[in-house]
Amino acid sequence: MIAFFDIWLIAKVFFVLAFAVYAGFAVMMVKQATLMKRTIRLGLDRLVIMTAWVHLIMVVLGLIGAVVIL
Amino acid sequence: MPKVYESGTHTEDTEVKQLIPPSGGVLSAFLSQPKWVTFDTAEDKEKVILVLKRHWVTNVPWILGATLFIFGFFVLLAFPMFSFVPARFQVVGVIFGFLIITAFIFENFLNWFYNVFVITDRRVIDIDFRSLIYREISQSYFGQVENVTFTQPGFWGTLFNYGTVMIQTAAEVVNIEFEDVPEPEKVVKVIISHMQASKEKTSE
Repeated sequence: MIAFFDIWLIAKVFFVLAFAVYAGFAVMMVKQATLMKRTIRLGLDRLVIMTAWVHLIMVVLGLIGAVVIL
Repeated sequence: MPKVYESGTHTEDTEVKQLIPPSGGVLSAFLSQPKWVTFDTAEDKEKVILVLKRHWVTNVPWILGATLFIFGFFVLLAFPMFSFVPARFQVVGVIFGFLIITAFIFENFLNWFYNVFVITDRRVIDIDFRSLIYREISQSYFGQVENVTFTQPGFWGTLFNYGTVMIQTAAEVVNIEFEDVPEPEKVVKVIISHMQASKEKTSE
């Protein structure tokens, strides 16, 4: 029973760490999209920035979800 | 070779429009004379003639990859091998998987959409984003361009009419390559006509 519990605790830590690392990547994606938009405006820039932000918000919600649900 | 563009003449617009009529939407890989495109290093009254991206067919490998990834993900979910995993872990796992797929698609789209080649009425500019926050902008004025060639290698390049335009510049200035751009022959013609116009201007 203790071993079973430990496995899922390890799995939870793994998921939380994975989401945390991924959140850092999502922040970089927002920075990248902003840099791209600043360099050249090609007509879809607002949508691109918005998508990057929505992705980041989803990742942060996922991270919170992993901490709370698991 | 007929002149397709001569800077500073009244026929300039007509000649450009004859060879490359204004065309292309925001997702086009061959965007001619777009009014809405601006870039941060633009000079006063500089006019964008062409904006080129890699041909859409070069996106097929990552689109296929993403499709297979999604398909594989659903196949994996359908297998009972994960039935021993608690439901809450399955839910978080699915969310994580879909976020990864979203990021993969978005990142590839960004790489295609923003890695562009711009030809203005004064110069050629190659804008490259090599990693998440690293950008490289190479440019050369038409007066510095020495030679322009293009290659159309392989079956797909010939079939879909795309290729690589190589721009050799003066020794100190970096050479520029427009990779896998649509209609490379037209692109070369536009650059050569600008080079000629620039030389004529200098010799006057």
